[in-house]
Amino acid sequence: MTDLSLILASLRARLFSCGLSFLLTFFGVMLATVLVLFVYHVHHRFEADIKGIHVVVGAKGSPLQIILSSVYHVDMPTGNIPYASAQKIMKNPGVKQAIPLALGDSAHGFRIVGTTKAYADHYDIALAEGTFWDAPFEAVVGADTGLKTGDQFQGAHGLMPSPDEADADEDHGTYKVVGVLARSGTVLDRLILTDIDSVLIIHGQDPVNYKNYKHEHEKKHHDHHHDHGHDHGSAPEITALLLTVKSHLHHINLPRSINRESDLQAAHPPTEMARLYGLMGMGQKTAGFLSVFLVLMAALSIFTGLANSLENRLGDVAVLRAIGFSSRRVMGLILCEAMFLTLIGLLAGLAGGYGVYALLATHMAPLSASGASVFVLPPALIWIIIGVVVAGFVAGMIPAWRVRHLDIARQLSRAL
Amino acid sequence: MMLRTRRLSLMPTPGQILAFDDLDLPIGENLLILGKSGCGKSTFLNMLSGLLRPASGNISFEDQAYDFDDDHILSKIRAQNFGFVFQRLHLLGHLTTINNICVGLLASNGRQARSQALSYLDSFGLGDKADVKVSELSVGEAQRVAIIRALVHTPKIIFADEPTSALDDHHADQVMSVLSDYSQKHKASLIVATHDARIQPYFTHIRNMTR
Repeated sequence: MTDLSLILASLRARLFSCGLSFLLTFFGVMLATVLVLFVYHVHHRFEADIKGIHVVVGAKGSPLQIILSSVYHVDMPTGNIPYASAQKIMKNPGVKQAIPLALGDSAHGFRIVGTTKAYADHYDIALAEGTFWDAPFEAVVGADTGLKTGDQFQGAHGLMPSPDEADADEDHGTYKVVGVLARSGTVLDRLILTDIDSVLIIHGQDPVNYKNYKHEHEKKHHDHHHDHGHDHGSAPEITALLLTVKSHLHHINLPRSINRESDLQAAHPPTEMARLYGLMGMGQKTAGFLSVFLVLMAALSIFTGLANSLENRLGDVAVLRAIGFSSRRVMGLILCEAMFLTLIGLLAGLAGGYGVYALLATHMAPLSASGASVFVLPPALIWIIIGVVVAGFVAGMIPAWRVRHLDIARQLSRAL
Repeated sequence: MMLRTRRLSLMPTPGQILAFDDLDLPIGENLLILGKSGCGKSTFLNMLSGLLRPASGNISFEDQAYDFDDDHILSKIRAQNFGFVFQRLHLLGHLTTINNICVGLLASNGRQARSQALSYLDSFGLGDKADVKVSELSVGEAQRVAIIRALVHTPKIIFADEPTSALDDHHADQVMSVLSDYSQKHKASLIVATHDARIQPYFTHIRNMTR
């Protein structure tokens, strides 16, 4: 017999009420954990991937879609833009750096991105092994792709992960991995980079860097049908341009002039992300309120459970006091009951929250595609943990305080 | 001196003062506080055991004065030296028989709690009821468990409030024999507050209380 077994016996004696308190804490903490992990991932990922990109240019369409597809690689592009038009923008005096992106194919569920070495340089990502490409159909792969130098793989038509790997066919090129990027925590971890000409050649267009490159796929693809609107002429087309501008003035004026004077669409990442946060905000707030409400209900339930049980057990408390338990010790027992309930609810809720998030991160396309990690402890979650512990402490302290002022003799003289 | 009181008084309601004669109880001596219901005998017993703060006066156990402002010390005195048999038994309903007894040892930080409690249960014929919830015991069994809880940590004073009032002669005699035997064996004092005059032969000191 120990104080702990006294606490456990007391909890067992009111199993239903304790079960209810536990479930409320569990669900409240679980919901809050999933929410916090999701929001943390979104913000963290968005900030890391948007780093230093001031303007994104794509085909006319939704500017948000342009950013989601070309910066975060979680949506389909709005279409293609002529390389000649892109070149004009690249040569604009206000542009400090322009990274062309040509999308259209994927391999093993990872997007193949035709681009330049500047794309990796922009994120300060070095090679973990191998070299950068020196010819079309040489690829440098992200750390999460699982590919290594020397591997060969075939591209498949389409950008989104395909459940049927049979989609991969020779028509979309055989690539050779010549380098692997160091892990960076950015979207590049999950991309396959190659020279822009690889994508152009595969889609039957003229190469822009390796003008004399002759590839057998060029002819093969001449008659290939593409369902996302590629022109089958020889004029090269790309999907988007990621621009870094020279000054704040260009940051404002360049998108305006592009939108006004061309068939292209310039998207301003901060504006579009603010819009996206706004769209997500309502859901976030609702879930946030719900989880706070559940946690408060849990604290209230622990409090009422203890208060009710104490009301019924004041006689027992008086006996404990009479036979020599100090008021501090009895208060400790009651407080421990509250903290025990709170902590198992909290731990189970955290485990449940991380578990649910791990499932979502594996099976929900936007999360899995953006490399959501469960191995994080967002600061907001630390505050939630502190908040729940404090709520449990207060819920236990209120009934415990009554014990301090209990009139033992009077309580013992009352009928049980 | 085991227990000593001086100028004890209580103020049950504003303006009403209840004064108590001084008490000097030598080590190992028994005391019967006899009186009708409402005469203040339970109140006196509660003050002697440190459960009730008097309005004035002082109480000391083995020359250590009670400090009602120091709950820790007073609780320690009760845990290590006093055993209680309550009128309404006050067993902890959600605990088993053995754990009700162990609680008494737990309060006094006793070791070998379970084996000690089990040997007591055996000697009281309750060995097979150790793991039964006390709510499932008969009244007689529950009474014995309450007595074991009071004795298990070998206290120096046993305070009993109306331990025999609801019992017939035979059972009242049994209860008093157990308490009296313990008191003689361990040179402990037995202090009983009751209106039951049947138990007078067990006591050398009798204090009759009238209001």
